Amino acid sequence: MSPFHSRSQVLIVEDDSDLREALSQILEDEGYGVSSAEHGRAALEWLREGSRPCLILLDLTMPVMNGWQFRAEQKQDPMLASIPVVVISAGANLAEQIVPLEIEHYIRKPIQLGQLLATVQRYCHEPDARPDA
Amino acid sequence: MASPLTFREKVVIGFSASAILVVLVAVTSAAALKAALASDHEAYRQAEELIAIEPLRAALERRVASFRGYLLTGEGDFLGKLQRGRVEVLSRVRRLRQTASGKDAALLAAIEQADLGYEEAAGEGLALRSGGATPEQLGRYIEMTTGPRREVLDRAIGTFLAHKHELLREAQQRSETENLWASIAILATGGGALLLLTALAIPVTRTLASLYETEHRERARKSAVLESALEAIITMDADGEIVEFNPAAERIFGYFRSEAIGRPMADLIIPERLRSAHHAGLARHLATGETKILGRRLEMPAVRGDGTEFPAELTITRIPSDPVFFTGFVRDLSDLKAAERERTELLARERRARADAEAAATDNARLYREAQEAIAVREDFLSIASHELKTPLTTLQLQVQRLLRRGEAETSLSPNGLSALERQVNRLTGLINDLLDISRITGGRMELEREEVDLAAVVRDVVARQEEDRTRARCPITVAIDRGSLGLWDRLRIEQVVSNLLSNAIKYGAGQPIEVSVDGDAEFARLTVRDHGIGIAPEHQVRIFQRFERAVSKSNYGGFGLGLWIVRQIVEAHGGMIHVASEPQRGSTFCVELPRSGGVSGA
Repeated sequence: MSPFHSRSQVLIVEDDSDLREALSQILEDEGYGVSSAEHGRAALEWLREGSRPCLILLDLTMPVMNGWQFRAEQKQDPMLASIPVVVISAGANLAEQIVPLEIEHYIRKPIQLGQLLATVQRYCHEPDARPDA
Repeated sequence: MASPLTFREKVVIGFSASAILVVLVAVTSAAALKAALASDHEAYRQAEELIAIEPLRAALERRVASFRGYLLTGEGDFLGKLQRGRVEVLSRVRRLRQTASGKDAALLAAIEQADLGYEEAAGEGLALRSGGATPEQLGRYIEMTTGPRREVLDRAIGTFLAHKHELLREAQQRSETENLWASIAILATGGGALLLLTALAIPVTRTLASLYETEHRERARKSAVLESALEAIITMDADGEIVEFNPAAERIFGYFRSEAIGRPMADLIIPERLRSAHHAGLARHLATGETKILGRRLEMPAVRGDGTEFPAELTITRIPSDPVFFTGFVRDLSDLKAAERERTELLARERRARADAEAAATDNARLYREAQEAIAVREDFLSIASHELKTPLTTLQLQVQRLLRRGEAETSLSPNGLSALERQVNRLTGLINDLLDISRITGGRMELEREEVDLAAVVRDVVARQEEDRTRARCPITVAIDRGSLGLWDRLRIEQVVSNLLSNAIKYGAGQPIEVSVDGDAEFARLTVRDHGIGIAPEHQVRIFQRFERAVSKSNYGGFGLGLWIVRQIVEAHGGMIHVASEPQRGSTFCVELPRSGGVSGA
């Protein structure tokens, strides 16, 4: 986790470590800087240290602080309110659940790789180069 | 008219008053008549006495004539007559004096005195004759001596007569007065009594009239009651013969009154088997006064004129009179009994029905509740299960995709192995999505996210994605895109429709070509998917769109049986429709029509 502001830095907030890992690897493969947090509380703490990612990928059902609570805190903090959020969830009626979050996009689980990359790309600059390229 | 006196008292008073009046009239009349009779009798007595004076005067005349005859002729006859005349005069005077009193007696005494004076003078005249006096001397003597004495006697008699006349006249006058008063008294008391009786008669008559009227009305009312009663009212005498038979009786028993009167009641209305008991009961009652049935309501069978029996309620009362009469009140219970039976039956039926219904309702309610609970539990389970399954699946899928993207450099899996892994992950994803769809659709939560979607592009996309599946199933495909296929739909859902239909075509039409076409008009876009596989029998063509239904055997084909059901739900949610044309062993053609508006009116 590198606490610096980046146009290619993505924050992943997801309680399942394997999924967190898979998402991180895929985005890193694509050249994005990735930070991750296992719940809303950890994410908020990291953000308040001064980090400004281009996008937050947010799970909803999480321990300690869930996605809705995180989003509410984020919107109340003027320093953080402008950071875009995309929800990733398996919820049965996702469209209904995200109404109070006031977000533009969401991605359903299971995730299609293409959809994920297209969405991230929409918010973050194309990374300069792949680490391995 | 409220009177403190009873009619009987009034009658007694009336009679007493009348009797007193009659006695009063009788006494008054008797008194008046007695007075009148007494005065009449007095007048009669006076008249009798007056008449009795006439023979006295005649006797005196005869004596005077005999004296003068003897004195003038000297013949012995005259002397004899003179003697007898004198005796007669004396005896008559004496007879009159026996009853006389007061002035009568004085006047009679004067007559006797005068007679004595005349007698003396007559004796002296006889002495003169015997002395040989001349006729002239004798004539002179008569003229001078006996003449005046006779006048004295005449006057005395005249006075007496006048007195008697006076008495008679007075008696007559008194008698007339008495008669008049008697008449007046009789007329007055009689008339007064008549007036009083008349006066008495008025209230009596009025009372009687009102009594009569009351009685008449009562009788009319009673008769009206009898006439209009719904109960048969039959009166019989001590011999059991009918004396009264009202219209209700005519109606109930079917006899005319004229037929019934005079006939034995038992023969007419009591069933034959009960008649002897009836006669015995009547006889026993008349003999001993014992009453087993009088005044009680009895239910017993009665018989009509046509011989039919019916249930009746009978009440017999004895009319307290001499001779004895009995009145029977008979009610026809046929309708009542029938209604009672019907009601009992209805009640029983209703009770049974209610019990059944209650049981059924309880059962239904319980079953419904249980079913609802079961559904809720299942939907909940499906929702949670699919949600829980998705997280590991997502990781799995992402990793497979990542590996595929990076190539075999980082894995020991062959490309074939990797694609098999991806295929199976995709299949798993599809199954989980279907499961989630059930709970979403049955929960009424299928939300459509409409956007402009090109149906042709979706078809090309899905066809491309399924290429591998088709290759394995040896299904060549032809895609015919006619024109305009844009609409406001939910992209993922439309993909699902195309994908499910094409998957079915591959699954059930393996080894045969598949034709897909997209066309449409201004309002609708049309997708047709045609295979040449096993086809669907007509009887199954409706069923296949239902949940968990399929036309084929489970032992031949796998799957949840949800594909076509989900397709139909999605199509209908978009306001479209789906239909199938199929022939067994010749293949099936599914045709989906989607309104371009996406089912949103006005869009």
